[in-house]
Amino acid sequence: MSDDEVSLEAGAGGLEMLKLLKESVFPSIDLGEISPKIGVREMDDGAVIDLEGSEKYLVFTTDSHLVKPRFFSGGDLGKLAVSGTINDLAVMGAEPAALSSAMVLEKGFPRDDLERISESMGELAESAGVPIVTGDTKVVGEGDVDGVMVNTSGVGICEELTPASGLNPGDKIIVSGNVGNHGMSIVADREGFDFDIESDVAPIHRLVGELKGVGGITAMKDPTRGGLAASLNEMASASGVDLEVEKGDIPIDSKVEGAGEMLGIDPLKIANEGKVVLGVESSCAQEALDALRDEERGKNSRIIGKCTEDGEGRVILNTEIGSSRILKTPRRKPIPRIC
Amino acid sequence: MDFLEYRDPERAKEFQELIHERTPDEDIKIMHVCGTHESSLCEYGIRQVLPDNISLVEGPGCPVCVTPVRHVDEALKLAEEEDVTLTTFGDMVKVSGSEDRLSREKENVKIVYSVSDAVKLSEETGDEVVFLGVGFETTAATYAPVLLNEPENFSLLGSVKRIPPAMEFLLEMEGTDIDGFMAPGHVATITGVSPYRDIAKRFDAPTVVAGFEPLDILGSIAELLKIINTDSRVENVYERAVDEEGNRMAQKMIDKAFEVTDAEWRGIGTIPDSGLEVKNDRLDARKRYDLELSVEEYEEPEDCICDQIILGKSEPGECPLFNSGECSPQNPVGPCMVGSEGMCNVWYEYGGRRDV
Repeated sequence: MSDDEVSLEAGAGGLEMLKLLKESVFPSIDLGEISPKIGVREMDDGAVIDLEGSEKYLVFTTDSHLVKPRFFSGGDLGKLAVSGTINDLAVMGAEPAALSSAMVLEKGFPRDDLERISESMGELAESAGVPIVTGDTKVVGEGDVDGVMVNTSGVGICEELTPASGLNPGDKIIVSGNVGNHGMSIVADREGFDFDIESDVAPIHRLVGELKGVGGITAMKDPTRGGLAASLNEMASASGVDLEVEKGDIPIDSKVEGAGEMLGIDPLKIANEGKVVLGVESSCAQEALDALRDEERGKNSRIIGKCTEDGEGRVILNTEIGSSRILKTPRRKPIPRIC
Repeated sequence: MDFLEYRDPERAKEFQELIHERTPDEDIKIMHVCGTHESSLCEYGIRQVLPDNISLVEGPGCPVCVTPVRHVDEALKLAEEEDVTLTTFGDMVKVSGSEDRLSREKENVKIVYSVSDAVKLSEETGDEVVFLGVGFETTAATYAPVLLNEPENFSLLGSVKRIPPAMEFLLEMEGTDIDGFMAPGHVATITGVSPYRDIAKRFDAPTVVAGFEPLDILGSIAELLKIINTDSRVENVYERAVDEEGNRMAQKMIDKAFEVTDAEWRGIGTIPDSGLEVKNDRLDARKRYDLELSVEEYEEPEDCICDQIILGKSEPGECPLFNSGECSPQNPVGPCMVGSEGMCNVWYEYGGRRDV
């Protein structure tokens, strides 16, 4: 692929994408005079805008969803679209207020599937208490989109921000439950393996709400694409700290671990859709952990590591056998191993 | 499946102490020939817990890395000039031929996870399918039954190699200074332990057959240190998966489907008797399509020290292209970076250094 064209790699969220954005997109949308508190260049889970005359902030986020298979073990495209956007708002520290839903449908897309997806979206929005208040619908010719693409945007109000860049040396790192379930269930469904693994897709804004009561939360992310490894690296480098994480303390379902061993896919490097990873001041860590564990969706929360010192954003993993190694951001899509 | 047994920190510590006890004063170089071993070494930081005078190097253990550039050119030629669907493992798609990469030919190039997927494709579509078959004995064991079934509109563009002849070659070579081998457990499930006994005897090269969990590896190193400089023996430390004879059925099928030939290993050259060629002309893509490629000697770029790395004489940290970032998995220059099991590729994935 020549440099004149956008490559498939550039959609994977890694270095290729960053290069594409920095070269072809950001220079033109640099706001110059009008600068939000947190904007596109920070590439956080959402943007943060000062609200004039108020101590609060508006948080705004958007995401497009094309997951296939559209109906998978534990959820579907609709659930993912609603949950994902609610979670992006929540981990920035916002109380999600409302969502939009824009769909581009391919001519011939089955009405049944559309209704199933819409039902999922509506049900989840209702139970989460975050309404879908506006939207858009387009239908394009055969082949002009693959079935359906859903974009959900969301807004929320925030008093205390918890951006990815908020970590400080001494902070403890907590993850709210078992990692790798969503990614592994998608690979399994796609490739026809039956591992009996379900996606963890779920909104976690109420779980995060419980933490607000505790205080001392410095940074949060939802570890979606690229998994826990990507989020830890993003938080570490945005915050300018090094992290030390205990492999043995990271909660992973034995089924997910087993599937990962067979396929050569690392559970730390694949998406989660119902988890949060956070940094918390050391003195509040135990209380935060207890608050999470009190909730169904946080019952497997663990303290997995700490911020050691100011640094370049290295994430050091202490292995089960007493050695250490670097945990890097995954740089490519996980595919089953050959040999 | 309880992996925890093979990752138990207490037992790991015991093995570490045993290793330290048994390590002599002089430098010891242990070679392994398996990308999965290299991944395990890096994932568990094994080199970190070994005494400084033990070096553990990866030899030619990455099937994608040792595939000659010419084979990629052949695949490209087939995809361009014949009415076929060229199927391949995902990893091969990043390998550059002399002028182009498979990934650029999108229409009739498909990524599959196994040779069976490729055959299924040929059955379902009725199209002529060619599979670019790279790999060692473990993978050959998957190709053999497929070939013996004599599928209709399917053929193999083979790049299949055998590990024991490569080990012999390395031992005969000047300057490799190998004190012992950690033999790949997966390959040994097929070949059994006996090929290694023969090599160890002729070359005085102690060998342990090792599995892939951290305790497997630590235990194997401890065992190897016990037999180094004593007499040349082979120990099977992966008894739960490997026995003396190996998988006789798989061996018979491989013998039936393939014949042994000399083979070219990228970065090394021709190693006698180290290749497997499809016996049935109709299923050998080169014969089926009368593939003739004018062979120009492919030269690796200057500054690339893959030929040193692949022979265990240097490590990635000594390569200027690795250190400057000029050679990376996104833009691989040489073979050690190209395949996901190459030493440079694995090191890059785990931070690029031996120690944290």
